[in-house]
Amino acid sequence: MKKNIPLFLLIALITPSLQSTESEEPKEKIVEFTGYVNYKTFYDTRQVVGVTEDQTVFFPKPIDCSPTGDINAHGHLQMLPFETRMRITLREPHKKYNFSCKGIIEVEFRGVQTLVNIVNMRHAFAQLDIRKTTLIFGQTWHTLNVEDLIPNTVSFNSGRPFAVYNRSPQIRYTQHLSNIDIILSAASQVDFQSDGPVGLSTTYIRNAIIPNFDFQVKGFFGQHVVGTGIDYQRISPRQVSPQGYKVHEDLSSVTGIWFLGLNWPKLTVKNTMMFGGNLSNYGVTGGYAVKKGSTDPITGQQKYTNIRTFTAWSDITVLPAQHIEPGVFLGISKNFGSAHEIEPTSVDPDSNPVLPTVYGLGTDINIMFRVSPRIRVKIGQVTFAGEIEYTRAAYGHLTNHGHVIHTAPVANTQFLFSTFLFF
Amino acid sequence: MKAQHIFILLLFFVSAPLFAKLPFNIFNCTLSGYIKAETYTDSRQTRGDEIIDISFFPKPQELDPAGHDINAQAATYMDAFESRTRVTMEGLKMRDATIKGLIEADFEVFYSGITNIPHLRHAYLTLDWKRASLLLGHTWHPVVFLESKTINYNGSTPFDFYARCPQLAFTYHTSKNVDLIAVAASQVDYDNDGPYGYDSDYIRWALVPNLHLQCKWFLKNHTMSFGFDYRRLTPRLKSDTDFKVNEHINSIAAIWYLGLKWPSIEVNTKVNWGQNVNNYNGIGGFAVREGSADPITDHREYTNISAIGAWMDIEIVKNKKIKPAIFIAYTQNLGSSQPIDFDIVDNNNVLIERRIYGFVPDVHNVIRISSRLTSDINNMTFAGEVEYTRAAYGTITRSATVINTTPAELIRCTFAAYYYF
Repeated sequence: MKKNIPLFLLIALITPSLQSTESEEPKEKIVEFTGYVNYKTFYDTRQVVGVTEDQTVFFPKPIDCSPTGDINAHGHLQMLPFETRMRITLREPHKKYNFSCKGIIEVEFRGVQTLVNIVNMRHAFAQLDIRKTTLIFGQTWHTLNVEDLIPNTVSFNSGRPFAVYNRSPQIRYTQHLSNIDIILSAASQVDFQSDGPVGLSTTYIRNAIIPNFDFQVKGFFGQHVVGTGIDYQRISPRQVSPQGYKVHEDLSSVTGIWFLGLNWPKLTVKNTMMFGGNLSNYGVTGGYAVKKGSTDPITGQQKYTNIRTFTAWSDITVLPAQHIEPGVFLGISKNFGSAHEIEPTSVDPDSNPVLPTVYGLGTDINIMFRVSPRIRVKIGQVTFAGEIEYTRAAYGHLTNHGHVIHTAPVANTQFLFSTFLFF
Repeated sequence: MKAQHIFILLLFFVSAPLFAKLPFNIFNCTLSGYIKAETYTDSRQTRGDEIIDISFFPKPQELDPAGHDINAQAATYMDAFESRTRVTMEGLKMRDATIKGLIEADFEVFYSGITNIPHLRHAYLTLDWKRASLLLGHTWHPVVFLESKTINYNGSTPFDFYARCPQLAFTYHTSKNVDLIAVAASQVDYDNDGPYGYDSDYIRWALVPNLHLQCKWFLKNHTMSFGFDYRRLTPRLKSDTDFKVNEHINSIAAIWYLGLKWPSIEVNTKVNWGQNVNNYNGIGGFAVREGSADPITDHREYTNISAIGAWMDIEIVKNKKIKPAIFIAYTQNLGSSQPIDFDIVDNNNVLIERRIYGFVPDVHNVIRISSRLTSDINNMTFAGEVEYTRAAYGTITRSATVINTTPAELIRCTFAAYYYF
């Protein structure tokens, strides 16, 4: 019961604001239909870890040795249309009462998991602006995915795995003070899921009962923004052990984020640093592992420990002329291992994992960095864009503390050409 | 490798002439499409996509211990998932160039058991100049002449090539009513079969896009075209013995079509020949070349299985209220120019490893005759069709031809109603 108190408090806090306005009739309604048609072609110099036909590239695959060479040292070329998206925005301003409603539904054709070219929902949320309060409920950008600081890359990865990329069903409360926003949110998972014993799934956070909580403070000075936030996430990896016992397993993770966005007329600089455990559902490397020696020999119940990751990135966009927009994205991430010893994954004679004990994204990478210069040419509603993305990942062996040693770096260069027709 | 880098860099700069500051106007967005409800009865079990709405042809005989053919079972269906919606964006001009965008979705999905979910059919933008046009996005592959006019949504497959793909297409309009078309394309939805099943990996790994050249003539309302298609696949990066392998198969295809349009009658006909055309919904594919597997590295070489198809559609359009038509088609497996390895099976005939990839390589030929009647009343169209299809299943030989055939026949009766908006 105590675990649910913060949620009740949040609901109690927002309810009076709603009661004072719910009887008002809308004064006018505006419906907008926007979106863009997108075409991409890209060439990767190496096999990559990615999703949706590798449109979203995370990092290069590790070396896969065979007597005839590295199997993953082989490029690939693809053309894709399914970033194409459509958005419906509904607005109902109530100027007299300083109250307005907004609803957004946005879809694209990225599909779900390995199924592409089918519709998937990106955003579906309602926003109430009541004097100095904003309330959002529905699915949209996660609070950690700070909207003012989304990397301006051409690649669909939007800076992953260095930058957070996550949309979640949520309820978010924002209080606008003078030049400062205070944000509280409670979220869950749908499309961006944690990894675990049954693979990517929402069951881990659902079974943990407590939603994912965020608290953020954002300050504005001129056109610039600076902020910090903290994220708390709890997951329950299993309900039943392989021995058939009901088990109570939980893992709590905390993440801190710091960001600074500088917006001048001819230059935009976005910077973010983040440190936390079990970040894979945010599109960032890291995860968690079984704590060494924690497995009960009879019931099979075990404890878990976070694998911590630090990431930092900068995205610079220069606006020297009306139509041309060059920019560059720089990112780095490092695995900081676990605070506790981790259980090594047992393998069969062919080195295949029998029972995985480490879950997450790129947990066997120590340091990774990316440099991706780009150029956009904007001609009215048409944009042509090119980007060269170089990503280098140092794969190695996990130590008892989840650190990565004896690394062997691999690199991928992606050449990307993309066109957008905005409507 | 360097050549590919240069190719991509060239793509970055093809738009250089457009960089100058240009005047613009506003888009006009229009919404169009249709709702289609259909019901159809098959005299036999069929094989196709999207459950069985896209019926390619009848399933082969499958005898039970009592000698009864299990697939000799009729079935009736109703669906509405061919309904589609289109958003067209027009009206934007950049000096001499006209810009157009289009997004179209229907509710047929290409994954087993998943239907009634919006699925992207087209998403592209075009830049049109007086003498040239550039298309970027996902739309009909240039091997497609026109979307089938049959009521049954089989797109004339497996007789005709039918595919949509992401592409970059350049068309040059000559002064003599001739269009010269060059296309570089990839695969999404319409993938090739291979060692890992239907997947776009094979063409992505091959690095070279699917290239197509076409020459199209226009004379009043009539059209004629000839096209050549080249595609390269890399079936595997890693052999079954865990060696890195460098495997490729090159395939070519050719098409010819003629569309004749008079006020009272329309005649469309097409001939397509090709190697490994299962990604275009043609029959055939490719196979491991006999004896080519290296005993240590398991590196293999492959050989194409070719097919030819031809069809003709004749429709009398003088009276919009009653438009009778007939569709006649034939396709045949032409086998391989080199001997092939057979699929590996155990003593109980259970498949252990495939060595032949593609769509129904055990079919020698297929014929179809279908007659239809359509009636246009304002925004509504009512249509009925009777379709007869006969497929000759048999035994695959070393040259990938099919012998000792047993025919399977199917009659499909379809009734459909369309509402256009």
